[in-house]
Amino acid sequence: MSTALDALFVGRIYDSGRAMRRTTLRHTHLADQPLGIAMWRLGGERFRAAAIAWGPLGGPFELAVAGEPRNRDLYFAALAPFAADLCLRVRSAADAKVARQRGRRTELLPAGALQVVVPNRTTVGALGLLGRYLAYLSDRGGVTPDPALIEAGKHLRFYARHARVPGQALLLPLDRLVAEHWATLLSPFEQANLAALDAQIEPPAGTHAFHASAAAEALARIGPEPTEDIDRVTDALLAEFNTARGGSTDPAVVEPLARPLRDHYRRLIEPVWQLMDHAVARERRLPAAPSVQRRFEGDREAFGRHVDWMAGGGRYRTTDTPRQAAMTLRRLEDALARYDADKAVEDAACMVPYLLDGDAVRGVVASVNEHRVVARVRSVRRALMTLDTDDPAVLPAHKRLWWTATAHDHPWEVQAVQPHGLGSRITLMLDAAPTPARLPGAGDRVTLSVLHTRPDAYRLAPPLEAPWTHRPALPPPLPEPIDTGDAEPPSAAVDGTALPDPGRYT
Amino acid sequence: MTPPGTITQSKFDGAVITAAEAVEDAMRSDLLTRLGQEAAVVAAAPAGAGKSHFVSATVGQLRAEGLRVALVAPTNEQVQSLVARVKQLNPDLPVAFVHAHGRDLPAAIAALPGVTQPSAADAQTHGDKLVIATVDKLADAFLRDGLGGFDVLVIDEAFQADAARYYTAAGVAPTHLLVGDTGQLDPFSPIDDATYWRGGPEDPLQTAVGVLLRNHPATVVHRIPITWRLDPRAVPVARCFYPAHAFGAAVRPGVRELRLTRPGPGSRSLAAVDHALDEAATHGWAHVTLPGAPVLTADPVTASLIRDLVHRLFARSARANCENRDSASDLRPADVAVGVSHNDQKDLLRALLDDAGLTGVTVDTANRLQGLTFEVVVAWHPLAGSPVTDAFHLDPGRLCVLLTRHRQACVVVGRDTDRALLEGVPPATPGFLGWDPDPVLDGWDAHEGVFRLLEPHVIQA
Repeated sequence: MSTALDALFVGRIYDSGRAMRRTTLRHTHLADQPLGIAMWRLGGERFRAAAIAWGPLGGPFELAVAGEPRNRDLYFAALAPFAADLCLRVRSAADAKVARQRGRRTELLPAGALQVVVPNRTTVGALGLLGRYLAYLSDRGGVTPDPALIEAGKHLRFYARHARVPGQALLLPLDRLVAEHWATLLSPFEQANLAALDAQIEPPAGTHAFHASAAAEALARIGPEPTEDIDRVTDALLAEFNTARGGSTDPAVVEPLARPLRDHYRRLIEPVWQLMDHAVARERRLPAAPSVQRRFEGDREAFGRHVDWMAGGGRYRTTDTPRQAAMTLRRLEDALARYDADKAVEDAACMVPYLLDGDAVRGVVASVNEHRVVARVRSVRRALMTLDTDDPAVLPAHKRLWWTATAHDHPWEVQAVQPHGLGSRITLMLDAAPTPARLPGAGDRVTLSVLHTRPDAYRLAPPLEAPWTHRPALPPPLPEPIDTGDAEPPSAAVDGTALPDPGRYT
Repeated sequence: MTPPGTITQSKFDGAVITAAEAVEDAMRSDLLTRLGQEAAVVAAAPAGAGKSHFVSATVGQLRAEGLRVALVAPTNEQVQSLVARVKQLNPDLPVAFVHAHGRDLPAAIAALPGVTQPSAADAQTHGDKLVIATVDKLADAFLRDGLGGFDVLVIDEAFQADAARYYTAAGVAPTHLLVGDTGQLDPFSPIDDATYWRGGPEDPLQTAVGVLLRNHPATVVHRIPITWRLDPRAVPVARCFYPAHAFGAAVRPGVRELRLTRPGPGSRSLAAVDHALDEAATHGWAHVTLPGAPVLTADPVTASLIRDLVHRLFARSARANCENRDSASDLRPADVAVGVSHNDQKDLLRALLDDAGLTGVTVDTANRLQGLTFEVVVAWHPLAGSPVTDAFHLDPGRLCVLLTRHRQACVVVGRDTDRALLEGVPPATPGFLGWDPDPVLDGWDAHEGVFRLLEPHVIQA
């Protein structure tokens, strides 16, 4: 992002009192009814969801509150409905398939994919950790955990890992979605609060965006990390709950006792849920960019692979092999370059930073002529274009630029830049034989930039067996069998009632 | 860099050269005893240690033993200059340069006798005994065309090659020689969460040397204790970037000389520029500072000042003398480079220098100047005019590359508020289990050291 553009936005927003659009199109796929998930953790318990809310956005949410999430029985019992529902939704989303022709091969892709929307990136991380925790559950003490929990854990793990892909739309953190489409006065840290973002975009009448977001931030808690004031209330309710249940985990006993905690979390989640719905509805009003469908097709493909893998047992490694990491890195880099190029080529507003940074030029075509030039050995046909820009352009000779209309094709090479009126006259040569589709007409207003959407050469997968350099000289010691100690009596569950009171905050 | 023994030794520091030769001999014999085994020898070198010379000479020696060798480096520019270097030291040695589409050798190098540019498949069919390629191209040729079965894989600039690229290329030969410069830029990635794997054994962004030493901690690491490129005046600054590595300059003080004609009449407006050039010619360093101001990365004022410095250098008919010559000769545009941190700075300067008729002067970002040598370098300080510090601009590797490319003199251009950025407490940085280095803190330290050493050479523009 261009510093100059950011400075301009901040100045304008400061003057006008409300956030401004960065884009004219929506660059992310939004399903008709994505599955919303919002959650809260206990302070310091990174792997446990104290409360999790879910449901199709636009409707009411369901809420799972364990009461005491540090008690395994209570925790699993509370998560079970969420897990079962998530598994069902994933499976049914992958049920309908469509055929896709790739060369001579026909592939079956899921017709849709379950899109999950969460309030912020922290929630993506939290869901990933929750998935990591559930996906590898062992049957401690001979009690087999509900298989739906393990399956849901694997789904969450897949979603959180896929969320790394630039431009993906399977797991959408709304803070990123909104911040990508809107320029605000907020720092990256402040943008994590969806309420503050929303207040910048639609401040109450007569209130400046700055004050609106400050007020929103002070009031609204988004989660999943509790603030101290929330933790204080939770702590009191939790202590009450643990005293009242007296160590019982019987649903008939626990269910009514957990009501105050459930109400507490419902009060916290309700405004978040409305915000999520509101933010999605607002972004949906923007027309989708043409490449959104192609990117979502990539998401569907990944989703389909995951569901197929799950059908065959779905064992995932806890960490990547060097080979997987190398392949993932290249894939993410390619996706990022393509996403940036797609956005700028399709959306004039996204091209602005490139224009300001000297990585793009916009101007009126003064002339297009064909010439013969000697390329290496043979004489070949080449087109020369002269382009008149409104502003002076700084471009070194031989810089390669792609016309946005043929960004998937061959570049133009800068030959010369001369002052022309208030701007510049740039001479460019097409790096391929001229065809009508490759040439703009004289008088056309065109943009050329360093961005292209040409697929890079197909990369072959690295060898399956790691070379000696990437294998430890001494094989690491074998881990203990996962069921070590299962025959021993279970260690006492960590339970609020069994812990000494650490003292209240002062 | 100069191969020792070709000129009068009196211009050189004999003790430093003897120590370096001992290390190079030890490396070669270590490598030869490991032939045929899955083992490696690592050579860590400071800037301008004669790595390419060592690599090219070693390749010649390995070929003389009848071994089949693959020689690689991360970038196209690096491998192209390796071809030239190998041919220079071993004129009779056939070299097969395997390249990607559109990355042919420059005509002058391609025309050297014995240099061929076969396709990967042809190189394998013919059983070419010495193949030079980029790491990526070799990996691709290995997978696609089965180019492999070498006895030794030699990687130059191995601290810039990442573990992901090394993964595939490592399969072409059992025995590896990894040579590199620890002070330069580490492998990087533009993705948001490039630190995702950091600290894990699978991290694709650790260096080739890093992954090797992690899995095979017993691998021998040699440190080359010499710099051929830098002269004694430049060594103290360069040492800021190699804290655990002792090295000295091969050239004796006073051997390198940069002469400028006196500024003529009417040059008052250029007094600061002239002063800076004189300071650099005399002491090897000048740190030109503009008044502090909040500026864009591609600040036109700084760019024009750099253009003036370069232009004035030639206007004052700079002549350079060094250990390789008997008398001073004119500085050519190709002997001068401008080093920057950002592409928009590069583009702006390229246009300004082209307008000033200085097309032959190199302008490039630090990561593309790695491994190159010039007589005079003008460096756009990474922190120039910056309101805050961040990991990118504090990276010690970036500053190291900019300040260690020159043989004669280096002019650093910044603003007088830059040093104040390093006052106070360094920023908090994330920690990673299993990963010790802290580039931000190291950079903080290196930047502070460089500012201190350049203090006597500050000239206000």
